[in-house]
Amino acid sequence: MTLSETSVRDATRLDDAAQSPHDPSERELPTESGLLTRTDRLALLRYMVTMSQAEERGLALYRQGKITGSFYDGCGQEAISVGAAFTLAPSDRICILHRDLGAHFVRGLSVDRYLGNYMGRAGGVTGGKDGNMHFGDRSLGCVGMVSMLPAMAPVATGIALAFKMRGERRVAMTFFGEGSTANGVWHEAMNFAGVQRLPAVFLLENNGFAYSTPNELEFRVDPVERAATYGFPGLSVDGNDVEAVFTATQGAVARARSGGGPTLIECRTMRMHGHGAHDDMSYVPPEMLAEWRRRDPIDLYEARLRENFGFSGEEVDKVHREVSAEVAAAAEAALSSPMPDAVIARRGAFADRWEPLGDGDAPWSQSGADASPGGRAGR
Amino acid sequence: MTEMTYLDAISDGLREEMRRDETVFCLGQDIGAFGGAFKVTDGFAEEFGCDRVLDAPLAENAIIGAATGAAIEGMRPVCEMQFSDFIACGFDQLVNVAAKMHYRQGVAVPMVVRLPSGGGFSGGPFHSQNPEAWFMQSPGLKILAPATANDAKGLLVSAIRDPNPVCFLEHKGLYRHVRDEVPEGEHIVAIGEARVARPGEEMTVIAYGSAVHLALQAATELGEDIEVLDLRTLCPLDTEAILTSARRTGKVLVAHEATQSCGVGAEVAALIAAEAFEDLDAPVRRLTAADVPIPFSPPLEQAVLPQLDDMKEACRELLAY
Amino acid sequence: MSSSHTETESAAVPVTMPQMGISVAEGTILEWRKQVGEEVAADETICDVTTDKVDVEIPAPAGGVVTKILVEAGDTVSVGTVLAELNGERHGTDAPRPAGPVVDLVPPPTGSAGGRSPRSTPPAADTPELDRSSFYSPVVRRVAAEHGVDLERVSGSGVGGRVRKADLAAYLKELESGAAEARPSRPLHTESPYQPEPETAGANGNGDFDADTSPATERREVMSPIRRQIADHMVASRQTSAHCTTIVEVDFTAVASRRAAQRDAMAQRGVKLTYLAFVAEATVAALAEHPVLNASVRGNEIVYHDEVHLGIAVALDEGLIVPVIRNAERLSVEGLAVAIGDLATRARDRRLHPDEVSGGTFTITNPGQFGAVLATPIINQPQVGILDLEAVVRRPVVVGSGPDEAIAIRPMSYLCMSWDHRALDGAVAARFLGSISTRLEQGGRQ
Repeated sequence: MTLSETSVRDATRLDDAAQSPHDPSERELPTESGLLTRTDRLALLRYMVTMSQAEERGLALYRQGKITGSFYDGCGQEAISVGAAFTLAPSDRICILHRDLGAHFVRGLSVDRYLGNYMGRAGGVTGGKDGNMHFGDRSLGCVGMVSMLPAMAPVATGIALAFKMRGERRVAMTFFGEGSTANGVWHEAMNFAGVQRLPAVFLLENNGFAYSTPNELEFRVDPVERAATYGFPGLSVDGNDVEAVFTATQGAVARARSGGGPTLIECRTMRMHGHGAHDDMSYVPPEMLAEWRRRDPIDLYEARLRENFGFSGEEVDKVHREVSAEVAAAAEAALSSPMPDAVIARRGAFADRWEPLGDGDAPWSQSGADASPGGRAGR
Repeated sequence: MTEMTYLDAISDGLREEMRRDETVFCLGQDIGAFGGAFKVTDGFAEEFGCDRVLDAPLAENAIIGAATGAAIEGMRPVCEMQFSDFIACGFDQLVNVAAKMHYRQGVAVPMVVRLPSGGGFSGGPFHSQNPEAWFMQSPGLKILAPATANDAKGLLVSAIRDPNPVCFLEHKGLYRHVRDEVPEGEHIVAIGEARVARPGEEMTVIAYGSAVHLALQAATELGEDIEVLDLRTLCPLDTEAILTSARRTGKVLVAHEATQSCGVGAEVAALIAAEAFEDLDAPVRRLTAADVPIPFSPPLEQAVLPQLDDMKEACRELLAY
Repeated sequence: MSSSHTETESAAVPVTMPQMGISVAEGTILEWRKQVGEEVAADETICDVTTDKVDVEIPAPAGGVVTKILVEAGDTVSVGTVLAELNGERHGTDAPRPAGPVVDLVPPPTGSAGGRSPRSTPPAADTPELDRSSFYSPVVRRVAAEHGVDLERVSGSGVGGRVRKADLAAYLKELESGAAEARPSRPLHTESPYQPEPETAGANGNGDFDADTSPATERREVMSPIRRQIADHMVASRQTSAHCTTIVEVDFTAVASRRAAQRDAMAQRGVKLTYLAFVAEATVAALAEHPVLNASVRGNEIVYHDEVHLGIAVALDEGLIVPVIRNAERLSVEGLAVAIGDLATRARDRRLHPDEVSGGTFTITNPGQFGAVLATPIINQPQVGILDLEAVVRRPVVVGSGPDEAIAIRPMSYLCMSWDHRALDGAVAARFLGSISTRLEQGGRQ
């Protein structure tokens, strides 16, 4: 399996609307991977459905006033976080952003703890200390995000730096939106990762809008082109094709693990909901949404599973039913779980000791084959 | 015990920790082959290799952020801002990512940020700052400011071993002008403990960093019974030592080279006013830099930074009150 | 050697070790390029110097001849050390000037930033010194309260006369050792204005002096400590109490006959019986009936004293002193006479114990021997009344009533009491005096 690497393209290319990275017809990579078993495929579907249904439930709870603050989702982008996180070994580490809920589930998070975090419950991942998608279950090797985007980019490079310094075959992965690539911190992180040839995999979710700001106001050149200037490959895939994402990411992970340095993978997709539930996204042309609705990642994959891989309609429906029950039960559990005790509000600014992050689940049948074990750490 | 300069003591502490613990590494600009702008890491690349003494790009957010990530994964990075002033360029990663990580996510970030700070040599506005007060307002950071070579070594070692992000303010003016006895081998000074640099009964000067030396010199030249309390740690403050001294003498001058408004002195003064009011025989005063950027030309700089005469004057006034 | 610069003069020009780098403290001479006696041009390299950061050539600060080399090659010296001297042209602006007064191109903003004292919070004593003798800091209040000390008795050596913690500590120490009252606490006593004083300008008490007095017509004398104390205390008393004076006229006929009856017997016992003793007796009895005169004002409270400790003013050469008869309520007129005599004698002999000049609750002064008939004494703090017995003078008075009305010659005197209007009003004062005068005129029987 080869990865096609981008060369530095003519910077004027983006002015040609027909060549927009958001042209849904553009595909560069094979749409199926020889690395996935039947079980893997079912799992991929299941994680995407779980993300979609869990967020749907969360949105409903938000509108019912059961969730305070803000609500963010990755509707229409389920393939990216699921496809990418599926490539990881247990000892790999991941900084997950607000439209990447699927990655949490792949690593082993239960739905009730996701909903609990949104509702500020004691049983939520941060126990009420942080809200909405600002969480990461440390026992699953996940690091929670920071609002200042892309604040996790340098953190992921740092995690990768630790792996490199210790000679471990482990990978650090993170996500960021196309808008945050305008930020100086993104440049600093990419540059440092390139200079040090760090085992990092960077997923660039290009979903067309940074809040209300369209791509043409964020950059002149598609950020994936910049990878070359940092000294590592950048490639662009259809972000609504979970196996395309998986395939591209798996290659990047393998490269990183073997000391080949970082990779920037642009996943082209569309944000189907507003920036947050408080945003009606009236700035998005309706025809654009209509076009992308036809390319819903879950619908597309289900079709492919039935048509190309011999899954029955019943198997697919079963996944939906089971997930539906799981999400309903999770919502029940989260709703009846207690709020945190106010006494913890002033605690925890300082740590008494450092402890290693735990390892996450790695549901992919071939994950971790050549990865280092986790848990090795300093004192 | 050896007599060494403040700068050598920092090198010594760092070197010993790197020898003791292979997860300790350095990250900063010009620290590898060049040995650092102030030569703190002179010889380190030769001894520990360029992989442990990393020359970073000119990118403070990348330095602080990468250190954060590495620390999360169990390394013990000691990053260096070439001048404390440049922490402003890495402020977001330090304050929003590193400092808040444990409170929010229960994830410890054991890292040190070394900050060569302070003025007095025509460094101008961007090479002379004492930025510690910015971080007093950022819960989750520990903040150290040694005044002696002994404390510089001992506190750096403690900082490296602490599981939290630690800002280590090393005053540049003290690098080669302060020398005192420092134990060889392992030497630890606990974080959070102030030190009585000079005992006294008539008044107390509470100070840290360069101001400690100014206070000691003033006390000696005035020949008065002035106590000098060296805070050493700014966060967490040794409130017990502060209040004990304030209650005993009843007269307190808080002194630091950093600017006045909302500086460490304001915090100490408020603490004393709240907790030791009935033991005060005089209002709590502060001696600090004026609230302006630090100017370049020597007469201007001297008019802004607290000088020995200012310290003596402030002490005299308080003693006479 | 020529120069087109203005303001050049031939002078010793120093070559100093420069500061090369912020943290550099010293440097080492590697090599002198010029020796003593050699000429060097301005900016020409005069020596090579190394620090641990760099090696550098030092250019000569001026053209001239090297006259001295003060640091040898290979030696290490601190930054700023003079390494050598040239005898050369010294440009007006060449030599580094010491930091002189800073010319502010921008007027300093108000407030502490950039102001006169940019570094410290403005000192409290910026303004002309205020009287802080009644300001007590938190620690002084607390310690005084813990020890039951009346802070008005403690003198202050702090700014504005403030009582400092150390002053209070010293006071407490003296109390312990019993020597506290040897230095009379303020205020001591009411000096009365009937002592003849030289005329001075500003005798109205606010301390202003008439600057017009020409030096040739005056004689200056520094006040003695006791004079100074009395001066301070009198002023303080006036500023503390709301002074009023009420006067009652007393016919001493009955007192005279009582005295005549008992005087010889007492004399044989060594007791001198004076009119003052009878007045004291009557006063003590009246105090029992009008306890507010045997009280003190403390803030918002009137503190009534159960016991009468009667102060009796004694005139010494240098000033007045007021020894106190303790528990005067227990004494008969003879007991009072004994006490008065004893205290007066020991006062004049300087043999009073410190305890005996403090703690009084009411004072009587009797300067009548000098012939004055009326006075307005000043209260002895912290009391609320002082009784002044002036001269007893034989006067024609109206006696009897109705058809028996006649003029007789009687020994008359005025009892003048100054009292504190904060604690009581004129009616009470008058009634109190009435009690005394009634007792005296009826022969002093209770």
